[in-house]
Amino acid sequence: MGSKADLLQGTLDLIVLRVLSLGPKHGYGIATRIRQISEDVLQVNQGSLYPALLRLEQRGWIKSYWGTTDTGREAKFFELTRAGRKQLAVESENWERVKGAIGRLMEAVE
Amino acid sequence: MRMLWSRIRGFVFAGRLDRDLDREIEAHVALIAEGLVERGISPGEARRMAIREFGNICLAKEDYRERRGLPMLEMLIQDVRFAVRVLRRKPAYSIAAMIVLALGIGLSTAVFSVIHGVLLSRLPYPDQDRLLTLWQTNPKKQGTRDEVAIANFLDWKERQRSFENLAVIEPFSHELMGDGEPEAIRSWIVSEGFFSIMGTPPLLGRWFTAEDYRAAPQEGYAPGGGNVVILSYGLWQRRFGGDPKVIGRAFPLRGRPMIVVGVMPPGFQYPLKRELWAPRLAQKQDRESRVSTYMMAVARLKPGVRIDQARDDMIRIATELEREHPATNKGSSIQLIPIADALTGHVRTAFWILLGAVGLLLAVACANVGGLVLARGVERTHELAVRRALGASPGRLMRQLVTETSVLSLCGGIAGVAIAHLAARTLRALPVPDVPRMEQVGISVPVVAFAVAVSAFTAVVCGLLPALRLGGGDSSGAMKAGGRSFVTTPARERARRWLVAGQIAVSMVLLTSAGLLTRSLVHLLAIHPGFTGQRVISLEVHAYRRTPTPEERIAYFRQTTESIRQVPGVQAAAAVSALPFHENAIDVETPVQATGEALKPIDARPVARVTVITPDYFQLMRIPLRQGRFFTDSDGPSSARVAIINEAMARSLFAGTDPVGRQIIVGRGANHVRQIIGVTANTLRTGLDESPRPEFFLPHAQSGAGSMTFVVRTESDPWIALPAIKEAIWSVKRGQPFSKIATVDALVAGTHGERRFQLALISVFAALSLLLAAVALFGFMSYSTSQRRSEIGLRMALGASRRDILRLIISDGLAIAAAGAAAGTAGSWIVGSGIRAMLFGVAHYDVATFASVVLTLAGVTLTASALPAMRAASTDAANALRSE
Repeated sequence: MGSKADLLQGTLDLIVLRVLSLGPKHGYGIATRIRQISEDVLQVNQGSLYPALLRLEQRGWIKSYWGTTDTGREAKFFELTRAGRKQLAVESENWERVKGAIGRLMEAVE
Repeated sequence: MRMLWSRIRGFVFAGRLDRDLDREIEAHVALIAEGLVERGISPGEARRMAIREFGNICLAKEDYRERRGLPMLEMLIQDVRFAVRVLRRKPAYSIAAMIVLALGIGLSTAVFSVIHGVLLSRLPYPDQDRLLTLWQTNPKKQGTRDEVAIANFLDWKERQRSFENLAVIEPFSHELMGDGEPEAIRSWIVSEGFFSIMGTPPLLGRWFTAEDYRAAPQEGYAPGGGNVVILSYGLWQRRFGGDPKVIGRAFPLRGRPMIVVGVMPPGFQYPLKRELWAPRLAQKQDRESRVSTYMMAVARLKPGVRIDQARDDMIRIATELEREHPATNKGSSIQLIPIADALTGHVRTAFWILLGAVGLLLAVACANVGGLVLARGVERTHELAVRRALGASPGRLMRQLVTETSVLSLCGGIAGVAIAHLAARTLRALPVPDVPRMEQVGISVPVVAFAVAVSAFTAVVCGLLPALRLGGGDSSGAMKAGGRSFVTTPARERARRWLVAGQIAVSMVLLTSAGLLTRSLVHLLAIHPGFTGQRVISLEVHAYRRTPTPEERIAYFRQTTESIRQVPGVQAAAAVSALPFHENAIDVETPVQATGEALKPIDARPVARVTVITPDYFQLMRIPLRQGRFFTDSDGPSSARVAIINEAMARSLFAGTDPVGRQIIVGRGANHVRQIIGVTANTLRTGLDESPRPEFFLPHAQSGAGSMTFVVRTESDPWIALPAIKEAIWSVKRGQPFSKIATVDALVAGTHGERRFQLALISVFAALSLLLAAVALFGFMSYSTSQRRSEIGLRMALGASRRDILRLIISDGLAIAAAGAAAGTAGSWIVGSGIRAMLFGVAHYDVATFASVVLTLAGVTLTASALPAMRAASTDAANALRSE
């Protein structure tokens, strides 16, 4: 088995929301952060990040603005909205349930 | 909601947002690169690595855009743009397909507009389903329907239990004086209750009331002697300029003032276009008249009564009347016909058949355009395969192909509506006899909806079938084969071959029919009617009211013809009771017999037409005298009773002996004897296709007829002399109206109007089917040559010349056409004998017609196969073989 896992569609949304709950970030920042937190296990295809960001923005969970990075470069920043925070709570709960279910399933099979 | 808004925004501001996205991605890549540079990698290398790390930028953008905008719409616009580009690159193909679709859609829309206007749209009568027309059946005419005798109608009205009310209407003529020219107006006199039965409210004023039917009784038979009238919309506009204050105005009609009490709305015109209604007053004789049937009856069913119940009720009455009046009513029954059927029943079947024919034509047009698309598609197999390999899904390609045919049929549909508009306008202007409500035919919302539906249907049919065959299939195979491997089964190919041959056969049948009818018309026009009508104008008058006695009428017509003759530019003037080819001329036929032999019973005597003329009639019409002399002014009321007969009568009555000086007994009695003073050449009377019949002429001075037609020969255009001619007639008696004014040439032309109409109709169909067949052949030949590309290449490699290839392809086309022409010849023979009644002076197997049609088809075949053949001949052998 390789060390890098593909991301499920719904999971990417959850991860992006979770990363942004720590504060506004630009696209590159989000990708880097995901890799760092997952200790290089989760590798986001950086191209597919942008449609996902657009989808979240269309749903009203995040909003974007143009800002400047630490190095003085112009980039688009994303931050959670109030609806986004609620959604993160809902999705985290879902995730816990799924995780628990899969964990029990794995134990039972073993 | 928010999603939709965002997507629409994305669609509208696509350009600006695209730049935004570019900036964003650029920033992202730059940030990656910055990180790499920090780790000591050179900036150039860092950027390359950053791009690699980011992944497929194009794909990301594409995904992003698909989420952002309205992908269906964007794709549609892209498809349409691409389709237009593809179609413009092959103008011959596109124009051929578009013309075929435009004609197919246009023609079916035109026919539908007629059906919609005449058959489908509601009549302007409330509760039209309860409106019936009533007819007597005539036992002497095999029970055909007949108008009603007034005494029978009155019995029906009293004894029936099924109707709210019944009324009769009778054609009439009102002489309108007023301001402007006197005019004879075709009118209806209607019995009490007519308007309430029809139920259409007046536009202005009111219907007739019971009071209007109680006018003072007049002497003799005067059913039209009321004091009030209702105007049609047309008359109101024409004579009164649509004056809203016309109600209550009195104007002289029939010499007495009549008061306008109402104006009806435009669509109200049952049963024929007449312009005025007046009350029909009850007459003393009404109760006795069971023989003269000239009344039209209408009735409105009581609510809840079915038509078959009413029919039983009326048949009961008919049986009673048969018993009570056996002499007149024996065998006579009653027919009830819904008003819509009575108006349009005679054309209904013909119209639906026409729509069926046009529908079939449209289906063939679709098949042909589909064939063209397929032929084009085969050439494009490689392109399609490449696009599939680059990731287009089969559905996407299919959508692309259907979009292309949609663009075609949309253009075809727009042109089709224009064609339908022109066709409807032409039809409205044509004197199509006996089709009611023709003026309502036009392009309306339902008609356009029909055209749109037909266009959409053709787009799908033309595009989907080829798309199903082209869009599927394995892309790598097709790409390798370069278009050659596209699979066609021999059976399918043979089927297409037969379809094309069948179309050629059908167009051959139509072309020969059109050819035969054209030749018939040419023959007909070459017939000399026996008189010369150039520069002769005719004016019909009814002089009974102004000149009540025969003596006054004799004097009137003598003076008036003399007065017309004084008009500058007039060469001659005469009057005749029944002008040949005049629609209002009543053919009076009477039994005749030569004297000097035993008097035969009436039924055994031959009949001859009677025409009353003033002395100059024959010279004016240039009808030659064969024997004896013409009438002169001295053949007067007191001189010997004389007659002139035509050659046909001389032959039938005197069989070779000299008739001049002999005597004939005219009419039913034995004492009306006339001496024959001359014999003239035969003239035709009602149509160029009739054979001359026995006819004799009487001098007006010995008859005193009051319904006559003036004929005037002028030196130049008779219409220029017309005002002066009218003044000359009015100088003798003021205010005499004219029932009809027409040149004799126009009258003659009018009798073959129907023939021209049939010819025009069948010619349109023939031309269209020829065009369709040509397109079908062209499509098939292009298709089959592109199929045979490698075979042709091989032949050329083995030494075949361009000529050989040309011959190969063209002879293939000719073989198909020959099969079609063989079937078409057989079909034409059968159809030709079916339309024998419409032919004149030409056999239904006319060799010249058949030969010219076959030549035409050969020419079309050559043209249609030349282009594919030339393309095949220019095949580069090496190239064609390499693509194997």
